[in-house]
Amino acid sequence: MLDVMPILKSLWRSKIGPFLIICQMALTVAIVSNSVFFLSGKLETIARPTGLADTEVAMAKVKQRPGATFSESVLAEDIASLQSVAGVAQAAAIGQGIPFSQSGGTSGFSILPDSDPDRVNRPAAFLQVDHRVIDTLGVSLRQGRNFRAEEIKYYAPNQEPQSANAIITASLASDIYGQQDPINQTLYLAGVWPLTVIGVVEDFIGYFPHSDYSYSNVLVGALELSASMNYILRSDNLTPASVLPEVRRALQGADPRRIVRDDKTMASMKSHVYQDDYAMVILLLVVNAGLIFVNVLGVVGITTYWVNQRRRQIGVRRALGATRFAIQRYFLLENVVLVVLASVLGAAAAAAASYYFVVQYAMELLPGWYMLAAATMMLLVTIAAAWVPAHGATRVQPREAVSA
Amino acid sequence: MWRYYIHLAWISVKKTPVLSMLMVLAIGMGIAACLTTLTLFNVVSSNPLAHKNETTFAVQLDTWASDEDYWGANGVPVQTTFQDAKAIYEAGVAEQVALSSRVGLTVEDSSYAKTPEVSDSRLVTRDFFRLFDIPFIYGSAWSTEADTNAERQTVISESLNNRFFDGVNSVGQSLLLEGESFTVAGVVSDSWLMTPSVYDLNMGAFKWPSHVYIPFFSVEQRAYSNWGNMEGWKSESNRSHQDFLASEVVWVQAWVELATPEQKSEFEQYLVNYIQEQKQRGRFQRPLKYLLNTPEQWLAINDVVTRDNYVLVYLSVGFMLVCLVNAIVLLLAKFLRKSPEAGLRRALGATRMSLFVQHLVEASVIGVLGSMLGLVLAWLGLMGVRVLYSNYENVAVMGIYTFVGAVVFAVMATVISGALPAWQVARTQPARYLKAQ
Amino acid sequence: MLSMQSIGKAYRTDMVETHALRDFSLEVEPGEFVAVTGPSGSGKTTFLSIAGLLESFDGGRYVLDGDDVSALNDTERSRLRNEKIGFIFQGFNLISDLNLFDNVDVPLRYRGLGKQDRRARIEYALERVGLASRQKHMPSQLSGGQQQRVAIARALAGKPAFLLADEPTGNLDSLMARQVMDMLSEINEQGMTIVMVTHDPDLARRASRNIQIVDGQVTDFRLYEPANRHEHETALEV
Repeated sequence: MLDVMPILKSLWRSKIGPFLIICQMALTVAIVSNSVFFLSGKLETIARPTGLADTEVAMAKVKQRPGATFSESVLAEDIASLQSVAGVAQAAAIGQGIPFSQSGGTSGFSILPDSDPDRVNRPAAFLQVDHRVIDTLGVSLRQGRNFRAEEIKYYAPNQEPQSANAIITASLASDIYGQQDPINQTLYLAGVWPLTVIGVVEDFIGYFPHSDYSYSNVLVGALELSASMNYILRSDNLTPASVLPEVRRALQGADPRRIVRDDKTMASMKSHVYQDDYAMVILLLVVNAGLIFVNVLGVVGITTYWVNQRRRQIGVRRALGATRFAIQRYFLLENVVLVVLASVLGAAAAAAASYYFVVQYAMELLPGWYMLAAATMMLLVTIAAAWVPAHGATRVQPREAVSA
Repeated sequence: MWRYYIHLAWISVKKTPVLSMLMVLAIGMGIAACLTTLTLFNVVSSNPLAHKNETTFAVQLDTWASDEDYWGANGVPVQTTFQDAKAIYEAGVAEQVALSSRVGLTVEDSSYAKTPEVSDSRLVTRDFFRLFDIPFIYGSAWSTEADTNAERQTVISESLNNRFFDGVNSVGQSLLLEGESFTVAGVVSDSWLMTPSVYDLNMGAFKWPSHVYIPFFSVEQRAYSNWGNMEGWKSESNRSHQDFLASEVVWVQAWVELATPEQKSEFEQYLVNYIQEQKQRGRFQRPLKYLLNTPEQWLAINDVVTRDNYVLVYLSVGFMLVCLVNAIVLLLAKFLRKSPEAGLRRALGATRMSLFVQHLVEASVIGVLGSMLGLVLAWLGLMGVRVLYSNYENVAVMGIYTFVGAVVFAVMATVISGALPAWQVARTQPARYLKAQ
Repeated sequence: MLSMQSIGKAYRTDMVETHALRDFSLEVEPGEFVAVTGPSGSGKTTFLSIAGLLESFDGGRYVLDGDDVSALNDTERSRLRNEKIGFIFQGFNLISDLNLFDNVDVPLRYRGLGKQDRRARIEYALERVGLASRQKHMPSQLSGGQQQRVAIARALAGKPAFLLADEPTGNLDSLMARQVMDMLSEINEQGMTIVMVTHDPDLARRASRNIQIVDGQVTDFRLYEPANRHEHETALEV
């Protein structure tokens, strides 16, 4: 470590080159730490638990021939023909709010009706479901019970039933009821539609995963019998995609004017939902890889230059008894000094950038250890990059000190 | 002299092929990253209605609850209720009124020969086509009478026409929509793709155009399955479709064209009167508020340019900076290594200026090569972007202005970054290196 | 041709001030071949740098070929160097990336001469040093003596007012050194003024006048007979 002072002095004398390389590394530390933090947020969103058997679930939409609507018997027939498809373990009907479908309803839920001025609304997505949905989606019940077949309210458009049973997710339950037992409590949908909570399920991601309350979901035991219906199914093997052609045929039935569409797996819906996030992650990774690569280029270039510039000086040192190892150590140490200076500057720049993002785009503040990690990475990468030219310096012969 | 400098630069570049390649590569990567993200940003942030930005307006009316703000955008509902939309249309104050809403319609041919499909459709008033510059390949929009009387007429897309009418002129033919017979009034070109889709920014600003258009007021006769957003604040129990139409639910996108400032103020006066009149009927419980947004404002209000878009631009500009600083460092290293030659040239009579220019030319040669590489990489990058974002498929394309701008920018950036090393080497003292050979 | 009166030059660092030249005066007449000698550190190199307009000086007056150069700026000095002075260095100082033609071309480029003019001058100069057939060769393909002859061609191509040579044979073996010296003598006999800095008394003897610098001042000068004509004729034939 005794070498540090002379290194600092020599850096100071050559000013512009080291200053620039420090700027470059500092910028890199700032960019890498911020973008890794940003992309780790994206990855966290993508990788968080879904609470669903999403790798086994698929869906299809059915629209009756013009003029016709669904009835309880048509529904029962469809479910039966779905269940007869080889590979389909379970099937269920969902009116709206299929997880990851990006199509559904969100409403305010409260324990008090609309008429009460003290009413506090909690936003949550709601799903219209039959009694088979919880098992088909693979959602696990935590408390209370599942719907019974006879409890599901089937109703004509605009003729909402006066009441219905509901099952809510654990997040919403704790938001609304806190420590209280939610079972058998009344919950108002939009302040007007009273629902009776009969169960609490573990959190699962709703129809719009990017929502701030994607884990707040209400399953309502009621289905509107309109011209359209959505079915979900759970396959008993791991590739729900393979059963889709047969599912399509089963739902098409005998009526050529019936339309089966949007048959797809939940896995594909999920990757579609996160498409932009994946894209962002990949772009960030590519640019960061490019950044590191450019820094390697810079370090290799500048170290080679410094070694060449100081061949004579190295020769003198060698002639005066410096070992090869000491010479290499000198150049590597020079890099360490640069990276340390750059890291300090880079951390300041990273913090400033992060602060800007917090103010401008309401992002989270960059935790310090991301900067530390970026600086460490920078150190390792530059040492590796400087290794080869620094090693080249050890091949300088002592006689170069004297030869012209 | 320029040719001499370029000759020297080329000799120098060839002399250190690896270092030169590294510099070209670094500059190329920086430029490619910038170019890719800026192209993307350019697409996302463009205003397809810029040419009529001063005369086209999205209407916002604050019909929301008395005790809370609308939750999104600028705190005012981004869509209107049916009754308000209808009032604006019927008042006839605005020269053109484009009301629209996205629905899904079952499409069948009258002989049931083709496989039926549910098509992305829109309920629109006839002004929608003119206001958003939609080109027709056959026929035209339906008439004003058809508009007001909600006649069974339809405009379809070129691709739907290909599927159901084998691409021939289908004007006057009939098509079954939700089981009812509609007469084709016109066919619109598939070339019409507004990016961002400023006419409807619900559920993403990059969407394909609809395939079927029917008169907006058809919705008074029956309900269609809504494929857009419906938002409400009021606890209403809508027991019938008519209840729904009369409700406070917002689901209609209303645009008007007001060609002159006079027309605009006349329309504003109309809105003020209308809102006051409605207030007396118990509606519009909040302070009187309406907004006429230009397309540009509308895109901003709806956050079409996302945080990710900005982050990408910052990132790539940062990357570009690093690449340029890197190029400066490498150029500096390279030029200073040639200091003895510079000293000799000084001794032989070169002025500082001529040495400066000589090395600037060398930097520029690297810059031009880097820019060319950058353009190739950017082209690859944009292909990658199109793979990554399916909704940017046909929009992430480099325009000629972006292209030319990028080349100019790239070369300027490298010339500027070459200036510092060139100046350093130009300052070489002539006497310094002559002895120490 | 070259007139220095009371030139002074001091180098300053943070702590010390070193006087390289003090009250230095020298007159060189047109056609003279002057050798400047002196021990290491005496101020020879400083004299060369100042005489060659490579460095400025602190006091005194320097008139070069009728022009007072004492107060010129950098650009004017560059122009004057280019037009009036032909340099010959100990280390030849050819540009290794350029071929012989391009090396001789360097000062001419900065003169701003036309293409035809430059070509004629380069070919003439290379012919004069016996290397006309090797225009396209790179310096590394030549022996040291040949390289120094290219450097002489480069100096002559600009048709300077005088040649300034700095240990021109310092990096050469004795045979090559003799050839180079013969060539310089011949050039001098054709009327070119030459100022040569050297530490070698044998070389200095071949000049028409000898000046010795000690501690930055002219201490002594001697006159020698012109070089033997026969000797350099044989040398050129090699």
